[in-house]
Amino acid sequence: MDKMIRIAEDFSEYPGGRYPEDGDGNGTDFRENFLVPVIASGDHAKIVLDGTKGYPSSFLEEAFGGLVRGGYEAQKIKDTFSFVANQPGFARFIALINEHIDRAARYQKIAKV
Amino acid sequence: MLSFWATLFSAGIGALLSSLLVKLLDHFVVISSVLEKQRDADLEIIRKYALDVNSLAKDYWSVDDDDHSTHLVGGTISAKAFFLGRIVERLFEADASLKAAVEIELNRLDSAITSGEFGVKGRSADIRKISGIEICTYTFVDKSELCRRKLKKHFVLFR
Repeated sequence: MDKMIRIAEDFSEYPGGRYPEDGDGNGTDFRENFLVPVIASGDHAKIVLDGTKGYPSSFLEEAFGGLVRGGYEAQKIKDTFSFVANQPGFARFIALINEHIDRAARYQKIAKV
Repeated sequence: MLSFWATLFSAGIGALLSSLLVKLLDHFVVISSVLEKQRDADLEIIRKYALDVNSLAKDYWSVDDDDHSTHLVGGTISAKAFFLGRIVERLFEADASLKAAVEIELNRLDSAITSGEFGVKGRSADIRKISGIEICTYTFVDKSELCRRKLKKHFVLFR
């Protein structure tokens, strides 16, 4: 049974910002408190995107791209997390998350060269 | 004499049926035209919101944010970008490939505006972002208009 992370209920209805000093709902807090514990333990989680007031790219990049910078393989991240987006307007954020993961992985590769 | 009445009866039935058919077709043409108007109205909202977001985003990235003073503008941008996504989904729900094409451009616009230090306290102005925001805004609007024209007529009878 996959763990469920309901962002609007468990984290914030207004996700935004990158760092803790940006206020509640920032990407770093989400990554460290919700994503890292799941991926570090080898579990899987379903992330429910519905219910918030949207997702700025900087938040998504910090949360998911930050996992890549933290040493997790892009494929491992994609295998660990699946997404639920049933409300109108939410499905496109799944594509954005995958873009941020892939882009962060590309930058990591370039940085290593 | 009998043949006269039979002919008259058949002609009457024929006239009744053709009148019913015309009324039925009229009914569906009217409904179809109402739905087409709704689609045009959705496209108009998309255009307006995209230009609103563009203008707010340029204001946002033109100034430093020493004390989180642009926080409110940032929130408005996020909310409008989010509603743009909802309207795009509603307008193109009948055609998944058109929806995907428009959503790609919307995601590019969203990223052009809300990536980097968006929402970060104490961020600096970044006027280099503005040309990207301009390009992505007009590409998104253009793609929305193009895909709107490609949507098949909404003929309820065959839904």
